[in-house]
Amino acid sequence: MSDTLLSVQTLSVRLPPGADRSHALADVSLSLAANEILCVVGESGSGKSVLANTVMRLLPPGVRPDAGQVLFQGRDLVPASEAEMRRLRGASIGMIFQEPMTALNPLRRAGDQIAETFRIHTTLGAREIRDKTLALLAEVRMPDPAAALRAYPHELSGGQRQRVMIAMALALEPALLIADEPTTALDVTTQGRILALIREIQARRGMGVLFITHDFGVVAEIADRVAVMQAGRLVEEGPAGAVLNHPQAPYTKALIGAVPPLLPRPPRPASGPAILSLDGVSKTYRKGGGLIPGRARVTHAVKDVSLALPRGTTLGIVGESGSGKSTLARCIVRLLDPDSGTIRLGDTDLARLSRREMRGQARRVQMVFQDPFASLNPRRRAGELVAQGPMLQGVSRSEALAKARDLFGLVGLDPSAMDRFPHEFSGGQRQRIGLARALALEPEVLVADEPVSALDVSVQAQVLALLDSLRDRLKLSMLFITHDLRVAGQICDRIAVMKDGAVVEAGPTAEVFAAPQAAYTRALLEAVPGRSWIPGRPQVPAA
Amino acid sequence: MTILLLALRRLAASLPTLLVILAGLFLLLQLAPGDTVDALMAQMGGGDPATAEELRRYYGLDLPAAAQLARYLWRLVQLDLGQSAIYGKPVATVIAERLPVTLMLMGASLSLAFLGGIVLGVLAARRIGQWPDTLISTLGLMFYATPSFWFGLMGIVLFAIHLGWLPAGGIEEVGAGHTGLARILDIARHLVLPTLTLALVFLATYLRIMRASMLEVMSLDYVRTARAKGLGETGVIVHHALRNALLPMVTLVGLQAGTMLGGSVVVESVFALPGLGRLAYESVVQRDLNTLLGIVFVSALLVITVNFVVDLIYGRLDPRIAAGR
Amino acid sequence: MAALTRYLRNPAAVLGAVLLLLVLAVALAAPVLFPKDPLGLAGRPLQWPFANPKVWLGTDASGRDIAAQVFHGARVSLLIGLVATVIAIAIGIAVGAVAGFYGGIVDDALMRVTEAFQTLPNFLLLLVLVAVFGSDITTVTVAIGLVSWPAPARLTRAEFLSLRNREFVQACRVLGMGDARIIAREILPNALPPVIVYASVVMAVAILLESALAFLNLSDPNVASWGNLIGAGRGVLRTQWYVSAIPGLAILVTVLAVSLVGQGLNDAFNPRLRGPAPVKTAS
Repeated sequence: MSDTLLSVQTLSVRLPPGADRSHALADVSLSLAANEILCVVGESGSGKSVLANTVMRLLPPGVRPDAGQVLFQGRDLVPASEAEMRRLRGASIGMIFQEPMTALNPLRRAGDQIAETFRIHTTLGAREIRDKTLALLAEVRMPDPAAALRAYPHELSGGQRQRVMIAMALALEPALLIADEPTTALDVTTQGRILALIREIQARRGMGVLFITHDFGVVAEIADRVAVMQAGRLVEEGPAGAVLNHPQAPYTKALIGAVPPLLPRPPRPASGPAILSLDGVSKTYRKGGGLIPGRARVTHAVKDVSLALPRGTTLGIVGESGSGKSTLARCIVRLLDPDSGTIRLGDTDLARLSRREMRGQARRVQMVFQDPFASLNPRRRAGELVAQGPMLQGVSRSEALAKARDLFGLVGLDPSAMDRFPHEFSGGQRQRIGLARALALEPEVLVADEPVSALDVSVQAQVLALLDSLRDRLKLSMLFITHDLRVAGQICDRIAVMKDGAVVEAGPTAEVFAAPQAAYTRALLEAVPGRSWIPGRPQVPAA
Repeated sequence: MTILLLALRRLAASLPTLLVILAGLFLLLQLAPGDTVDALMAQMGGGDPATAEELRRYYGLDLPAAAQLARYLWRLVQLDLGQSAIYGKPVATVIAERLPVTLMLMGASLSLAFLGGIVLGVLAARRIGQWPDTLISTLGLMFYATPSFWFGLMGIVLFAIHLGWLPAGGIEEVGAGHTGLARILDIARHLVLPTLTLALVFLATYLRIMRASMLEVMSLDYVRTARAKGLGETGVIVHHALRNALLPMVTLVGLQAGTMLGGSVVVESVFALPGLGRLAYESVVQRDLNTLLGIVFVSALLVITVNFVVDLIYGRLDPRIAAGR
Repeated sequence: MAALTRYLRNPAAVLGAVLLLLVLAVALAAPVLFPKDPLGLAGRPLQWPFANPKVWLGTDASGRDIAAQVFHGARVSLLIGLVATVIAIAIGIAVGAVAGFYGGIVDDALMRVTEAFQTLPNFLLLLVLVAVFGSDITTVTVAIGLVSWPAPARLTRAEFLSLRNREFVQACRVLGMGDARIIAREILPNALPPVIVYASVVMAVAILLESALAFLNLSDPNVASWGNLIGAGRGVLRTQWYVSAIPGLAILVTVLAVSLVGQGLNDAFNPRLRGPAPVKTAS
């Protein structure tokens, strides 16, 4: 290939002693042509980010390549001096990062931070730099480029910050753009727009893009070619269509098999009356103002929500960040006090109960949390964490621990691990502990708040399968909060779509997916990356 | 403007606390065995009870505690701090005479500690684990662990007694009749040792915070972004890390203003400087509680002023403040 | 146990522990080696150190044995430091935990009080307390504890603020756990390590505060305190500077030891803060 832009050859990157393995990358070879998008896909720990940072030579101290070459435009970057690398960074190779919230200096204006790239690499005057910065902001479709120029990062939304990052990376028209999970921290509709933007600019400028991601949907959306990584090794590489639809390596097959297709599950009959029904639930936050009520800023986090959860089914609450879905979940378990409305569980109105009375009802509604690392007290043993609930309800310690042992088996954990502390478990295992803790009280309703969103896709598939089988075996009624329509499609019988605190649409999953009524639901569905690609079903990938 | 308003609001919020504290202290002083009059009588070498009664009535000490408190607070609002029994002058006058020395000492020490702390902290952070870091961190620990008065005494032994480079105490050469620039230089010479003495402990604290803050900031995402733009190490530090790393330092100055003022009590005693701190010490020894209370009041005002300035500076440094975060 | 290993691998921390044990040994040995009153007359005044084997660190202006005062002074400094620290940390944890956990008006009120204490220069407040309640050793110790609690309170509050909305605390609420139990059994153990580490700072400052008070002759004159001895040496500073120098070194070593141990504990509890950031292989 004559137009090879970047060629990585038998690259190995060593980790310092004491790390979980000796090499972050082992014998990796791949190449990227000018004017193509190569997606590097892998789960956490696969070394995909190390690969990106090795090209840029932005590795943490102690981590360095010990074999192989990184040829950029025919020149090996591994032995290049720091000064040479500085001339390349920002000028010939641009990079954008995952966290738009932290990747910009909070104390400097956005325009100034873009302009800095020009000041480092060119001798342009202030006026020219300003004009070019404005043009860049317009190119990345900033709503008001002149205002964005003067804005501080905290005055911009996540998507806008990522646009600023892209403008910064593109300032000097680099031949290569490295994008390290650039849309992972964004909402799905924003993600769709940013992906389209990257695609569009890439095509217009004929750039090569090295795109790091964990999400096969994103790959289907944007990739020309795909490289799949596992534990520092390249397991498969090829054109996007071939890898997505005819994966060769067993690992790739397993990963793609774990991606939930954007298809509704076959609905189950709703048996009998609703076990949980919400009527007109609202919750507002007041911030600031102190004793002067007029000056407080009021946020309507949940606005007049009415929903019903039929017994033995799963109701999905779907929405982007800030939609109020988590607030709603916390109102139901009374971590928050709703301002108005009723939350009827059987014949009890949970919204009316005092905190003390609610403690008595704790048994009936339980919650599974999002973050497997924050949701378990690091100083308690796993068995104790599961036994805590029954013990608070008056069950003796030995009885509660015996029950915990059964539950460990039920959620697929080895009961002999009950004496271990949370940090000795993996993320998926911790989520199982959290589930066992909630199930220990034999709740009538389980509220699950994004229980799989922090997990890798293969682990996510296992936890989802577990939830599904437990629901059938234990006849659980579940409220499932998620931002991910693929996950919702796989597990929810009915879904309710929330936006700005209100439910905009609710109904059986199949109906909502097939014929969305609200414009917002349509936008959400359309923004799901790789929506037309059905994993495991040969098909032409989306352009 | 928003920043000024926010700082002013915090200023206003601190005033009621100040009044509560003064009331608490006043009542606390009621528990003290012996009052100003006893101290006065003792200084006069005793006296008859009738004179004491008369004096008590004169100072309003025969009233019930609540009435005395109300009188005191009312006078405070008018900035009348009462009469100093020992000096025979209004407390406000006594304090005003002593204040400049303390302000000079604090200003000089704070500047030295702050600037030195930044420079040394950045140096140590840049060379973490290497000899400059080890040297700076060790010196910092030593300064931190040294009692300031002992440091002052040893400074006197070395620089004043053995080497004869600097004066051992006082604020200026008494009777030398310096005027103008000569007088300024003379005072500056007298302030060198006290400033060093007071500054070193704070220098140690500041350099430690600055070092930690730099290390933290240098590991943040936006520093990586700056590097990805092709910026060199110096550019990264000057344009991105320094200002962010300064934020906790500025906060610390506000928090430690009181501690520094407390430290000046000791330092002024060591170097016989006629400042507020020494006045506080004298009024404790001589049981001049009116003066002591006045000093506490003025000190609190000083601390509040410093914090007001710190709020303004912080607001200038961090645009998020104006947005209410 | 990983923390202990990390602590023992840190030379500065080990040095601190050794120095602290040394000071402790000195304090314990004082009544054995110097059974007589350290403030009693021991010989001719102002003998230089190492001149007379009977009083090997020399005597002060009143003819008291400097070595005896230094040894007994270690008892006083450690005791005052320890007790004052316990008082300050106890108040700090109580105030900080309640303020941080409940937030709102409770937090506002408690933080106002804390701010008020921080607005008053702590040494001045100490002077006032001593002026009012006298300067026997118990009073001085309690007074030092009373002026030192705001910083631990702020620290505890900050920890509680960040922990109280952590999902594991929410999980406990959902399980039906009461507030008192959540504060004491779930949050406090997680909030404690930084506070314990900070206790070393409080103790160092407490020792320094007492020595400064004693230096100014405002602490208990009937106790062999290092600060007293330094103050007593001021009169003869011009010629017999050793009288002030020796106890000052003792303070320096003690405070240094406490600080090093504190820093070592900190590094052992938070290994990631030492040296370069650990390598993250996850993307």
